[in-house]
Amino acid sequence: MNDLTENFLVGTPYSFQDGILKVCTALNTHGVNYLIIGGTAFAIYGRHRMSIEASGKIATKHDFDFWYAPTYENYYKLLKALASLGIDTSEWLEEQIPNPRKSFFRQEFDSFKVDFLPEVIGLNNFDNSFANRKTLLIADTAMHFISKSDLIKSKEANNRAKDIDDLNELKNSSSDEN
Amino acid sequence: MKRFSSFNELKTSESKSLDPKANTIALEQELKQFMEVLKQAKKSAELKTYAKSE
Repeated sequence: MNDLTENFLVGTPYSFQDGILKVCTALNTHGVNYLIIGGTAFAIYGRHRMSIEASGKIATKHDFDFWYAPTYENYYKLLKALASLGIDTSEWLEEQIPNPRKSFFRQEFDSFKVDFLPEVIGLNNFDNSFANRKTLLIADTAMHFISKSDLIKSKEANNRAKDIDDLNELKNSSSDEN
Repeated sequence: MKRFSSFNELKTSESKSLDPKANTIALEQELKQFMEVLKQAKKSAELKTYAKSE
C-alpha cells in the first residue's frame, strides 16, 4: 500500500491540496482523460460552498467529483492510476466483461471522498468537453477542469435546487470565459 | 473503493462519517484555502492569456 492511502488510514491525512494533487498526479502519469466537475469546478468559476448531499443536507465530508472518459482504455488507465495510490482495484482489473458506462467509483479518505463518474447529466460527449477544458497548474501538477459553459449546461440539465442557485451565480460571475 | 452502477446509486449511498474527533472547523478552513488557491491559479492563467494576446 502506498503512502497516500496508508496515511489517510492511520489518521494523519494529507491536506486536501496534497491529497487531490496526488490523485491528479497519478491520473496524469497514467494518461487518464478526466475532468474535475461538481463543487470544486464551481469554486473556480463561482464561489466555494460546502458539498451538499442528495438529501439536501450539507455534507460532513467534501467530495471531489471527476468525470472520466468511459472508454475501455481510459477505464483501465483509471484503475491502474488508482492502484498506484494504493487503492485496491484488483477486483475490477480482473473483471472479464467490464462496463465502464455503468462504473461509478467512490474512494473515501478520512477527511474527503473522491467520486469518478463515467457520465455527466446534460453533457453527451466527453471528448468535446475535454477539448474545452480549463487546465490549472498547481505546484507543477496539471488539474483539468470542466469549462464554465459545460458546467452551466450540466447544472441546467440537473435543475436541482442547489444547481439553480449555482446557475444564478455562474451566469452573474465576472468570469467571461468559456 | 466501491463501485455503483448509476449516478443516483452513487450519490444516495451512505458515506462514512467524518471522524468525530476531527476538527471540522479546521478542515473547513483548509478546504476554503485550497479553493482559493485554485481560484487564484485560474486568475493567474487568465492574466497570462490576456498578456499574450496584447
